[in-house]
Amino acid sequence: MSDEPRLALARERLDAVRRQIERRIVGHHDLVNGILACLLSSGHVLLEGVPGLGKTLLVRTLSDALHLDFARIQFTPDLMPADIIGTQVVSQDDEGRRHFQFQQGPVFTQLLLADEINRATPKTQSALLEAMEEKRVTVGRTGHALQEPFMVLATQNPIEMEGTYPLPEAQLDRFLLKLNAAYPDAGELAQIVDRTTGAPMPAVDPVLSAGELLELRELVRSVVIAGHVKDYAIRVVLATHARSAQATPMVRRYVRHGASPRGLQAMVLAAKAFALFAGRINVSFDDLTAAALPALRHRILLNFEGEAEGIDVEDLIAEVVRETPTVHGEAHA
Amino acid sequence: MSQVTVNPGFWIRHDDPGPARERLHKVVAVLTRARRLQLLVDHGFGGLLVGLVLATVAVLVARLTPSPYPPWQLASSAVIIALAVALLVGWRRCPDSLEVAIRADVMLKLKQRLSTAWEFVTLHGDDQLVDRLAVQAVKAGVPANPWRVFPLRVNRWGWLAPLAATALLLASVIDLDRMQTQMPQAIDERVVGEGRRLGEFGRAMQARAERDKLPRSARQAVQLERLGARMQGGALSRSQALGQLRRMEESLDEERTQALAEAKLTGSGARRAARAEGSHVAPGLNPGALLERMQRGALDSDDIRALARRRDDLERLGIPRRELENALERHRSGADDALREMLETLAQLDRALKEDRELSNAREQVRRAQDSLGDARAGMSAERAQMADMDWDEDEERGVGGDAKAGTDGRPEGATVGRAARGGSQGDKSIATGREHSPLGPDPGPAGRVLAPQGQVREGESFTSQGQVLPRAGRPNVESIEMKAEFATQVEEVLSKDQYPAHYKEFVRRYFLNLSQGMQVPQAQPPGTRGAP
Repeated sequence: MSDEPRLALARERLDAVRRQIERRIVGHHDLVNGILACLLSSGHVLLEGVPGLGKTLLVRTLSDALHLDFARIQFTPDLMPADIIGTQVVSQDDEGRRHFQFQQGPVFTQLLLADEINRATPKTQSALLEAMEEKRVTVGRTGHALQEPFMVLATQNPIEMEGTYPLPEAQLDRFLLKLNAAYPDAGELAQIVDRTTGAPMPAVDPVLSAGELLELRELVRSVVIAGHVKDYAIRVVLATHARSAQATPMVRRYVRHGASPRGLQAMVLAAKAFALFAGRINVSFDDLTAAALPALRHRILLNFEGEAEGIDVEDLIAEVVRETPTVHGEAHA
Repeated sequence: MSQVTVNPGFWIRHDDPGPARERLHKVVAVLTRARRLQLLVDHGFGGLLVGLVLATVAVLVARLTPSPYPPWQLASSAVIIALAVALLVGWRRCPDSLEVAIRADVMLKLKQRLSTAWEFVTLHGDDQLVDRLAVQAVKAGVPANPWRVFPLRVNRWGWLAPLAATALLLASVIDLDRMQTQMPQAIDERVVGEGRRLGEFGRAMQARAERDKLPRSARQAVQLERLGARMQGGALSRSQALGQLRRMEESLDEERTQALAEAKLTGSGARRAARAEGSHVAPGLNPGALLERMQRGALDSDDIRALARRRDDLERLGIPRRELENALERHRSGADDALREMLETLAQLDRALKEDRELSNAREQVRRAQDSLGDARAGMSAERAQMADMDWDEDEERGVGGDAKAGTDGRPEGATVGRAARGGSQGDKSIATGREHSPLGPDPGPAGRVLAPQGQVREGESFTSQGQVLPRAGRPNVESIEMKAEFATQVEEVLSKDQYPAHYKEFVRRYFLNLSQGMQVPQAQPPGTRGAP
């Protein structure tokens, strides 16, 4: 099949998903785009926002719009790893023999909502590491593969930090994108009131199957990135390292650790998804700059001075993107 | 890589038939050509700006310092060279096609469709993906007019070029002397005074040069007057004035040399002979007037006789006596050609000598100003100039230059000749008779030498001081002549007036009386002494 029909079909399917989500969710277009990009890039997403912005509802709506298994885990301090991945239970067969049998946890699903993930202990949070990266779970000596597609959508609350356990860097790095839920404007608030305080919430129809999603993922991977565009992405990532020659003054002063190679992968994959959304089969500089913030914001670690001065990582990334020249030595507009 | 050969025009035709990849080649080729022209124009503006700046500097330098080239020539050369170099650099800097595609992407906001497709077309060869990318790029909306992507614009260098051109214009027309005059400087009264004097001299010299039709002197007079005006206006510090005076002196020397060379007078005996006669070919002989009268047919017998009387002078000037007599004879017989030719030569000689005199006077004035301003080098250059005048190194002077002696201070003897000449009064013909008082440099040889240095105290007529350089010591070249002087009367008269000690008077009287009688002066000692009085 040539590109145009495939692209048209992909856009049609994605538009259908968006329409279903918009039946329940008001605004949050960037959030929806980011989540879809993650979905198409086989990545996981971390949603951050104050309570009440509709993060959980958005994920639930997404699961409703997709023909995918969905599970939700409410993370609490007493949550144990076994509560996520499952455990061995003693079972008795028809002949009366007893043996251990693996009882799958909620991670054995296709869409996993890890609500308020920072409320669980690091031990429990770490239970997701293998599942997120390798799409499998090891219990005892037995490994259990997860279904494809598999995606974790975690939420966390930036306030009420008491009794929470900030995600370790290794855990954060597993998330392809970190998306911030913005506060709705007045018009959006009016719509929210109208939708949620009157008639019951409208139903959402599943419009995208797992097979179709895998096809879309394949299509995203087929989007090409030219050498000079890739070079730009590399220079952006290198510029987040304080000791790099491309580092900006702010980075040199306030950054302890820059983005990892996984950050570059995340940026390029998300950019490919954005290119597909735009109906292109090539990545542009704009796609990369759009992907830079969600792909890098949780991968840059500030030093003490940066923390003490309250430096915003997003400002820092914006400066890096602004100051990193394209191939001709011209700053990207 | 596709081996598609395209020969596009200047416009992109979107209705071109053929596969997308070929169309992509055409698009990039047209854009590359447009970009190359844009680069050429950009470099051209850069070269123009650099050329104008260099031209401005060149014009200023040419106007402030003596330059053999006119300012407009320097300016135009600078602009042309800079422009040519810039265009050459621009032409050699052929833009890379991928770079062109990337720029076009950015300019047209094509979201890197064109550059990605071009990169894959050029690097990845033939496959489906390349075709898909080419289709996507071609459909992206490349404008038919490549100048929209790479317009021939006036870049920042181009915008600055009018400013540089204005600066060049100002540098060409502005009165630098007045500007320098208006600059606040500490006024050096001595420089101002010398400037006034030089200015007045320059004006007078110019009037004389125009009257006598002396082009070299007229040119130098203008320069001298201008220099004087700058000095008088306080535009020059003392060191600057001295520098300008040195250059003026060199220029005067050069003009003098050329004037004499034109008349074939350099180093010849004729030159010296003419100078000895007071810068005329011969006293009382005006070849120009004679020539004019001859051309009018008004040459009379008095003129012929005057020429005949001057045959000795003319022989010294290089016209053999026999030749003169032949010319006069031919004239008497009605054929004027030989006499005309001779008179023309004499007229040229006369003009050269006048130029020489005027320029020498001007140089003297310059030297005087240098002396007044305390130029230590002025004396040295004066000596060199005077030495050059003397022609010590002429072959006919029989080994004079070979045994030149240096003085104790490293200078050649005769270092004060120039000053002695300047110190002479107008019309005075003083005889320099003492080597210790007038050290004349190299040994003048057994024949001795007559010097006639010229000078001028102020504006107006110059003077000539004649000097006699003594022959080499111990080797007289003239016969000894016994001369008996009568001292008896003078001795008594002097001894009666002056107060000599009584016991010396008899000794002095006897000494001079002995001289009068041609007797050997006795080696007698005066009473009470052991040495001569």
